[in-house]
Amino acid sequence: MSDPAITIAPPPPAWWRLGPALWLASALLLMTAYLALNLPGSWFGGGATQNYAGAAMGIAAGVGQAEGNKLVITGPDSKNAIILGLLTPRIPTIEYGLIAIDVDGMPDDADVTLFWRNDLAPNKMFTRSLAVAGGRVQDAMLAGDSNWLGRVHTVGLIIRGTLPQPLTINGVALKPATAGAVLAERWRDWIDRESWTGISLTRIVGGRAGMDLPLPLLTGLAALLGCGAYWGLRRWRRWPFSALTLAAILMAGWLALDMRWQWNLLLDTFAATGNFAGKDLSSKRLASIDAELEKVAADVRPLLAKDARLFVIAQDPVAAGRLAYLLLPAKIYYDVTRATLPPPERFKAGDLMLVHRKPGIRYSPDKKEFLWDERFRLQAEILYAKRGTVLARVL
Amino acid sequence: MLLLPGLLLSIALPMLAGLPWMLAAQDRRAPGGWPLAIAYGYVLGLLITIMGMRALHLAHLPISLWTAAILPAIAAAAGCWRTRATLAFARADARAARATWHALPRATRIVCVAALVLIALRLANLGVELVLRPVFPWEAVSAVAAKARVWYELGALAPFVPPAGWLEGLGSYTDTEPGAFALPSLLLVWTANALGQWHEGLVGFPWWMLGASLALALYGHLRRAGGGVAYALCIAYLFLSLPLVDLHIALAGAPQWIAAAGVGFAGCALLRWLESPSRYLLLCFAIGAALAILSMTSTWGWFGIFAVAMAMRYWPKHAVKLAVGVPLLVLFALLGWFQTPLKFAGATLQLQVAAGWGETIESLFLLDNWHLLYGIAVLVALAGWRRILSPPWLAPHVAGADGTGIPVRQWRCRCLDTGTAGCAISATPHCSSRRYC
Repeated sequence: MSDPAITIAPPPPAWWRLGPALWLASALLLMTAYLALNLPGSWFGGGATQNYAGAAMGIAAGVGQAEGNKLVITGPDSKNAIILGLLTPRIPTIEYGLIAIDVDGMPDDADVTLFWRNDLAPNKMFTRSLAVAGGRVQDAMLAGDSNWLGRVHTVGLIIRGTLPQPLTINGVALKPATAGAVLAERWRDWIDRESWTGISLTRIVGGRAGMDLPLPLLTGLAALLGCGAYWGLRRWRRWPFSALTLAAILMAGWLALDMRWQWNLLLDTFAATGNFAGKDLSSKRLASIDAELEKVAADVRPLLAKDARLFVIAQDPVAAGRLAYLLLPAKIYYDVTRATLPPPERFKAGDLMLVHRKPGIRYSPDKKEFLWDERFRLQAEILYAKRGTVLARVL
Repeated sequence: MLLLPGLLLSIALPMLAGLPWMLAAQDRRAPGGWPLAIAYGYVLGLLITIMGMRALHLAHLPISLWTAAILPAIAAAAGCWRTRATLAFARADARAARATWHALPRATRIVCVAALVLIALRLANLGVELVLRPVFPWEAVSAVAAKARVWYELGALAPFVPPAGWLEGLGSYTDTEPGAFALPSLLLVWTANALGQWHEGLVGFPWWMLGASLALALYGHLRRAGGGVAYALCIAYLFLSLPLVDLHIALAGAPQWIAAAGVGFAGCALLRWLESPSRYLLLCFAIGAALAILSMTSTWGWFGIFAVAMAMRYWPKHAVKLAVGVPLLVLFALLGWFQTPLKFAGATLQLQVAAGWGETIESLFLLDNWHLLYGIAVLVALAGWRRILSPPWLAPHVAGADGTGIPVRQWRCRCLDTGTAGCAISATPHCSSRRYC
């Protein structure tokens, strides 16, 4: 006969159901908290997203031009500033609150400010600083800003700093500051393809550089919260401890991250297949980040005497190093710690010197003489001069 | 020579040179024997191949496929003779593996298949990327692949000298790491010789093979330690899913991966050895250690940590003192170096504080470098610190936790002669090589 005072606790759900469910619930809870903390206005409603091509922006300061739908900026003005403006129809700020500017090539040290004008104070310009990371600018959440009022008719960017490479404005989007728009933005941040850069071997962002909510942080916190929830549930329901459930919570977070990473790897491999498959080495290099250097190398290779010593000099020592690699197995001198030519006494007759985009080195065709640092002279004849690169033989 | 046969040869010969010896050295009856033998056998074979190339260099003989293949071929022939009954064992082992598989519950088999699919997808993905892409990392272009290209074209290990030495006429070639170890470059040279051409990126295939081998070694060690098939496969998948591991495999050519793989091979064997010492595990440890130590000097610190863990195993009474005392001693030494510059191989080096904790925290927790690895490590450490600090667990945790390198990330070496700074242990006499690291 059973004792009615003894109650048998129901068994816990299977670990492979409970673990992922707890992680997912925790992730949803955290996303809700994120929205609550970051959305100042209504979570729903708002106007339809307004997209503008980059080419629709005007250049008030700086040098650049429209290329198709994009605006390509090649340099700042004499005060090291670029000012870009976009005239829009009068947009009610109550319906819009998020501005996303799709930019490529923004220097990480650039000082970027978003500005807008409204019809309440037409002569006044309101500004907001934007963070830059990985060549892009952060989206601007303007809903809740005390100056985001009335109807906006102009938005634009003020960029201060030098441009080591052209800056491309792909487009500008004005979006409603609703839960859906913010979630869509975060989703785009996370699934944004991350291609390999010079620092990839030490740093994987895991989405769009400078994103507002890193996916590893969200999944990690969700795993932590899920573990805490399991601990609480276990005490409350008097479940026996299950290490497998904890492992399933952590694994769910890990898999969420890894599925994104696998997707990224597949996209990069598809890109690599398109760029490199079926090509010989030179064609592969022409499709890679060394394309410009390979063009030079392809021109120069036939001009290199077999046993001649070759000095490679470039303004950027890394470019000199990469160019030197493309010309191997020639007997090449380059020094990654300095971007200057060695003194003339280091050269011998018959040596070759390859000067790639290096300002400050002059050549006199009459005297057949190089001059650098205003004091060093070296007799040499030009064998090749193209693409900002000169190959010369020392006389 | 056709590419595929050449690639297969570049893998098969080192494998044949090492596998029979590893099979002969182990207790076959324990699970995980074949994965361990294949993983460590391949690495052993690579080391034998590299040794052969170094011997050719010392004998002033040209390095080609045929000459470089002599030593591994001899090792393979002798090994096969030594374990000539291997095929019969292999058939029996295959039957046992099939029986184990059929005995697994259905749910476990589903987990196994899922993990295998994920592993296969990842390895295939990385393999395609590696094969298609020309050499990309700066570390490869500026040193490892540069040396390899020259050595392959010349058929000889021509010396690389610092730029100043090049100007003096001490050598005909220079790069950013003239004093670096030759092993990573020789892996490229061996593969290029087997392929019959300098094919970027097939030459980097050893980077992929070492990734696959390390996953296999992890699986084997976990099986030997009593882990189930599904558990061991899941851990192997977790390892291969780490983004920084994947990138070092896909963008082959940087020496860090070869060195890290060596530390991984040695570390796995050591952790098992601390639990149940055996000569076979010491052999595995030695193979991994040789790969790491001969690839980069920056791995040497790991072996100092491993030595502490071994000492704790030998003298369990002093385990806690060693676990606390040695790191403190190292810390004081580092603080001393922080105060006083040291002369090292002709250069004046001083320690300084690196970028700071912010960058480390970002790298470990906010970026996707390691997925959730460090988050989980912190969670485990907080939840189980009592157990971690108890004697049976202390030695492996010292080896594992100190080895994460978190304490040393905050320091970097600065060369007072040139003002350059970089990875502490890798600083060369000329203080130029690691300017961009």
